[in-house]
Amino acid sequence: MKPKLVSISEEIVRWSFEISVNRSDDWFIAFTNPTAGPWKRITAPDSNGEKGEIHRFEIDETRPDLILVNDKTQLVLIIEAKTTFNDLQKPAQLAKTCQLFESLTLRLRNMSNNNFWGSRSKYEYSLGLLWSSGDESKSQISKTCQDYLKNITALTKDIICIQGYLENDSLKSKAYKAISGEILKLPN
Amino acid sequence: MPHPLVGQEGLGIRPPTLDNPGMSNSQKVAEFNLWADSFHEGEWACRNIAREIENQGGSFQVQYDQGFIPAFSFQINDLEIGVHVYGNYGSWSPKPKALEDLLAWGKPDLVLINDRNDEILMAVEETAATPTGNQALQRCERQFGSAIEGFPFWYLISEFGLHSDGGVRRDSVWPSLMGLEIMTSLEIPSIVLHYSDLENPEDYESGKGMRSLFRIMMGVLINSTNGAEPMSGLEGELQSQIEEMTHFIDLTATNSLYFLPESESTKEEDLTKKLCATGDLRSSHRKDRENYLIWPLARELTALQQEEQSSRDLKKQDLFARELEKSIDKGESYGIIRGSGSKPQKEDQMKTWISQQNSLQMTWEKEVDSKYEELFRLQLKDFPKSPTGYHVITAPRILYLFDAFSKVIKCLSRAFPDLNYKSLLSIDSPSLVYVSNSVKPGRIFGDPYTGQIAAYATSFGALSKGRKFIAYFPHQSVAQAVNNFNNPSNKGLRIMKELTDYLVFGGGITLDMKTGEVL
Repeated sequence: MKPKLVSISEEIVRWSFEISVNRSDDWFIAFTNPTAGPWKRITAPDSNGEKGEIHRFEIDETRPDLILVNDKTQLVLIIEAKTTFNDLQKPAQLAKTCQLFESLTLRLRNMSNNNFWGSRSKYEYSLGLLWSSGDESKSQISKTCQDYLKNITALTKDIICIQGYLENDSLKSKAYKAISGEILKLPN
Repeated sequence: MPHPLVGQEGLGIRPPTLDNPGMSNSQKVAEFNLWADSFHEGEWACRNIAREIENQGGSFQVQYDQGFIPAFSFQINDLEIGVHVYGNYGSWSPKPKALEDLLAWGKPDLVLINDRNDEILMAVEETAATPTGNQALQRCERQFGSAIEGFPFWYLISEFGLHSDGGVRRDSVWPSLMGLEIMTSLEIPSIVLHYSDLENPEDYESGKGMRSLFRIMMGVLINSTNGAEPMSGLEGELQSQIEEMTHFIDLTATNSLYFLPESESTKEEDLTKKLCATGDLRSSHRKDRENYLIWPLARELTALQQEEQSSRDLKKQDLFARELEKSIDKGESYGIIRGSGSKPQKEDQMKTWISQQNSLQMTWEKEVDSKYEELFRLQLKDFPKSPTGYHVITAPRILYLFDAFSKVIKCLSRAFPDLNYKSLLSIDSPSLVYVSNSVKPGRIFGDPYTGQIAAYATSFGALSKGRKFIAYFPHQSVAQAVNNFNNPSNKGLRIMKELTDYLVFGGGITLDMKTGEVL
């Protein structure tokens, strides 16, 4: 008996986005944070394409949900994923996410000597927010992203929004910069 | 029908052979669903099955239905095996009834189901880290749930783990002990597999466990596609898994236990044969329950074992706990687990919990006989203060193995003379007393306590009815259990109803878990 999807969770939105990323030639996943499994390490390929460990999170250490890297555009995306936009609006979540983005960005920017990260320490680092589309308005999104940006303005100039949505029974996602409104050619 | 992958010596002894000259040329096709706690785990499992299939000369393709549902297609010999992954249990409907029943005991990471008849073929739990302390037993309730529902269960766990202090920790003996008792009592596979080694802690590719798990999953898929019993022909692999479990127990048991009884190694072969031969595991094979390990009575302990048994001081005074300790000196019981820590609780939390417990109790007292009035009241001043909070530990051990149930009842009678336990004195059976000192309301019905009860009760003979199981909660109001006794969504009480005989709450108020009656 094949079941039907009746509710979209954070994990499902993130998963469908990851499938798109894996199909892309330009982006790779350096870290994903599912509930369990052998995935609590940040990894990246060196110049020979050999994959190695950049950082291993402790069991109780706060982790992002995803880290994506684009070597062509020299961009690193540190992503917080939630089931709904409402979850991302909560003040405690905002503070936690910004704190994590700051500490992780500084950590990765200081890894120029790491064989597997090296020049990526000089890339642009951005915070991404990923959620499943609901009834949130454009103005709500803009205001919340500005609140996020206020906390990390020294590290990044915009917030990347990734909205998962259902279209003809398929899960898709669109990506754009929250402040400038620029549509991004992220995997889709 | 012979299994196409199994030679005479089975999967665990040598690489399986693909030769199957007796099989017809027509292609066999079957569909399966791999339900998973997350898509990541489901896809990870399928890719590992794919690796085993490729090692046997087979191949696989994967596509993503609706853009995100992994749909694997494995080809091996003339079989075509389709597996769809459904991640995140709560997002899907309808779910097979058997899966709903299993999930009520806790969510395993993976559940493999035959799409043709919605039959659960196996459940898998896996952890990326080595759980330590209380956490070591927190998945044992899922192991038990799968067994009681009649489904084969594999628990893949890191044997060696990195602790935050930089040291390496080894897995607890309990899931393995529990698994062997389940297999012996219920004749259902309940296997604990270890990966990693001392040099490579938490590394899935080190050690034997991970690949062994996926060889079993591959075998089950192939068997089911062929219309054979799921475990048919997997004796070799299963036997080697059971041998690894017994080896692990022998190596590690005395890290946490005072001693381990001798086991009969010949049992392992018989056990494996039974496990592989059994088709429907759900009902008819539970008549003659045995134990894998026979734990001795206190009077049967050797002189060396007795030397380690003497009463200890209590951290927080408690009349029943004091009697339990005295029973060790009297030779009526013994402790089996070495040491138990005490983590002080914060003052503000303690005040809240104490107030909640007392309130629950007083509300309950208004509805029942006056004989229970004010038998249970918590006061902060009764808990010893430490620099970081308050100690809640009463009895210095978590388990007491009694030779006779009547001796436990006499301890209760001396500790709580206002209550009448006489009706229980006629029960004649060795017994196990478990103590949880938790103060937070409701906590005893969740992690890690339900896992502890599942592990200890099963390991010491609750499935074979070899020992009565009494749980003592000195800081909990009986009202919580009475109010939820028939609540099917209370997972903790479900487990307690299956595995315990009596729950003793604060003030000695005792609940009969078979009838729901307060004594």
